[in-house]
Amino acid sequence: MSKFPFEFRPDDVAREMAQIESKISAGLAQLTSLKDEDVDIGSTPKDVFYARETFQVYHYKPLVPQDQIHHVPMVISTPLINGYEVADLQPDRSLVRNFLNEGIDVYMINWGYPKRCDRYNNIDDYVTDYLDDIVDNIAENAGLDKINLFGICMGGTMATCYSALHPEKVRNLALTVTPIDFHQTKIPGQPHVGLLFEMGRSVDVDAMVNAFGNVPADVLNVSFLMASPFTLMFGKYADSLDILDNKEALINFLRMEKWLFGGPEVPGEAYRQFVTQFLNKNALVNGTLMLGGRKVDLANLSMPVLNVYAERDHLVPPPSTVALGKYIGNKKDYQELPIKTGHIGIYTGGAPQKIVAPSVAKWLKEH
Amino acid sequence: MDWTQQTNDMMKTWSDAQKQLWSNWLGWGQGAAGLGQPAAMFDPTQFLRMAVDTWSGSKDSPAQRFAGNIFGTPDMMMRSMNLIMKAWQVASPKMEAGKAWQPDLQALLKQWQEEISELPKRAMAGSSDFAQLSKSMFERWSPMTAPWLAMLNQATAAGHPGEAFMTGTGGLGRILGFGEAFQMMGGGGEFGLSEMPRATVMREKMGKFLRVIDAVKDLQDAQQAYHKKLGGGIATSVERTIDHLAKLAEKGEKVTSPRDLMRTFFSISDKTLNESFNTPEFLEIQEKLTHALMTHKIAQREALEVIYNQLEIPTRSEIDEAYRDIHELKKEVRALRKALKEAAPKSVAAKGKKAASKELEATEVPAS
Repeated sequence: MSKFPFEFRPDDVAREMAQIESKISAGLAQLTSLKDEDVDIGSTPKDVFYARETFQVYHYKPLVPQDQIHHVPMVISTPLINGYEVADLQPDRSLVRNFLNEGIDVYMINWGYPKRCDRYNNIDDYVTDYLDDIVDNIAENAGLDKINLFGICMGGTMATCYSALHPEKVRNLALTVTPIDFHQTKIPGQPHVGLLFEMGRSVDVDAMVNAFGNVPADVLNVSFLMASPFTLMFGKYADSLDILDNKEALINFLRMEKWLFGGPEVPGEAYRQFVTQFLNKNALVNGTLMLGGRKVDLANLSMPVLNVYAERDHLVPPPSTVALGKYIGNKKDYQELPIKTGHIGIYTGGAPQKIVAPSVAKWLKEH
Repeated sequence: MDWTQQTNDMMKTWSDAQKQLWSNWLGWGQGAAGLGQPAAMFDPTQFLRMAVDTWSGSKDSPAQRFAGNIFGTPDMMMRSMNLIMKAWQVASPKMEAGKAWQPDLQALLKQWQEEISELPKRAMAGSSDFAQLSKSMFERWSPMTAPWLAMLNQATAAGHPGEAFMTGTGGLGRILGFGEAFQMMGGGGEFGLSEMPRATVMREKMGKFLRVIDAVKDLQDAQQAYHKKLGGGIATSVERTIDHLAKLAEKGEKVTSPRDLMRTFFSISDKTLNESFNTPEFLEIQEKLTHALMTHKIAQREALEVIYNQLEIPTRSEIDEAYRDIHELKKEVRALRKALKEAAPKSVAAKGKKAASKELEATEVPAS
């Protein structure tokens, strides 16, 4: 015999509503006192090492004595579709800070906010010109022939392409949640995994670039949100009612919001090339990708490679990432490091803070 | 107590809770420093967003955006809850009687889905009425072009859409040179075969405007199909949520909080929608929607460029061409700089080698 499955006692419901009210009222008071600058992201102290056109390269101030700093600098290659701040979201959740504490000499690329006039920038420009220029400048500054490259998501894909084109300039390549095989994106029984790639493939990218010029950040954000539309568009904010009266928690929540919704547009031609060549044709693993008039051959990856991926990554599914092991030239020096988290959690999650930077730093120092 | 009575009691509890929440809604906004009564605002969410904007002194700050989402939360919560409550009201009598409750619920959800899929058309006005369609079409253009488009709108509102182009009723035809062309073609002037190319140009210009109208229609259809599919996914989510509740009832378990019920609904909806999003049918509908949106945007731009060209205002296409040229030139400059940099040490080395060779030669020359 079934029993009525609700027990909404008027007093309890009234109390719950009163709690929501009081949380919102308290939240209003918190929000009233907050300024945009209070919600600071990317705040680890740094200098602008180099700037060109829309991008800047930051050099972070060391957090350990000079004699403890590893002699080979590491440059973080960031994605074009999100801000660099994901690696430095808040002081106690900062990959950059963790690397500095491990004695790594950190440089990071901020690709900036492309303007209308940058719409013809393509992946060729980013990899064979900008990235090459950045690596040359950092290497020259350090008095070395080779430096370490660390890639974040799409920035990792670009770092991989660069390393395959210039193995002579890359000492070690560390990648995090980096898509390599764009056709290995489905996991049976998990429809949200790889949905981003599936949806990206089904859109007429030529029409989109012709219409927009640069692809707006909001268009890309919608694609991210579609993986969990109700939770990310409504549930998240309903749950955030519980932290509205806690200023520190509220600021941290807003930091993530600021990063998520403050992303840059993607230069139209770079987006077109990424979707057609990487996503649709899977040219990187098919060996048909040409950048700067040269073939990008993953077999040229002769340097040690550490491939870090998130086991619960629904945006860049692990099979897409670990496929690199199949195509890489130097299989002997190829390692994988799975982390029990999601795509963004690898940079901002509590537990990964203690794993990612220490493991990568240790590996860099050993190679 | 039977389920109907219990459902009615629960609905009353929920209705009272909504009243409690809404009664304080505007109170929150009125508490905003420096702002007047919110009554004039079209949407209370906007008022509250503006309030936070005023406080934080920053446009589109995360706090402002967050405020909008937070204040939208009770609204979404109520919409979701109301939908589930209605669904429960329809399904529960049969469920209690141990009969199949799905057909009644599916009928309700089908009706809801049809209403949802009609929304885009309602929002954009009926396509059968050209004046309304054009009005809704012009609302999507940028404010800067409004004065020019008003003329076209006025002309089209007078009757046949072609009037705007043929007779220049609103002045736009003359601006575009249509009037002159059509006068040639029968409005008093002599039309010779040698003038045919000009007429073709006019037809091309007209075509660009008419393509916008086609694009609006295509967009409406694509939006309707998308809403229908999305509505179908949400309807399935509601049905699955009720099914989940039926299973709880069988196990004798209970939901005690509206927020918990909402979380369950959101979780079921995400899973259900994800299944739908992965189907070839949905991906095709989405592709048609994005294609229609882009086509509409491009058609709109091409039509505007007809006006801008006539007024000798640089168009986006022209500026983009200039950007392309600048991009190519930048690449050439970079390549030259790189080549220069690479060549410099070589020439220095070569020079050094040459000098050393000369020196060697000199030393090798036997003293005579």
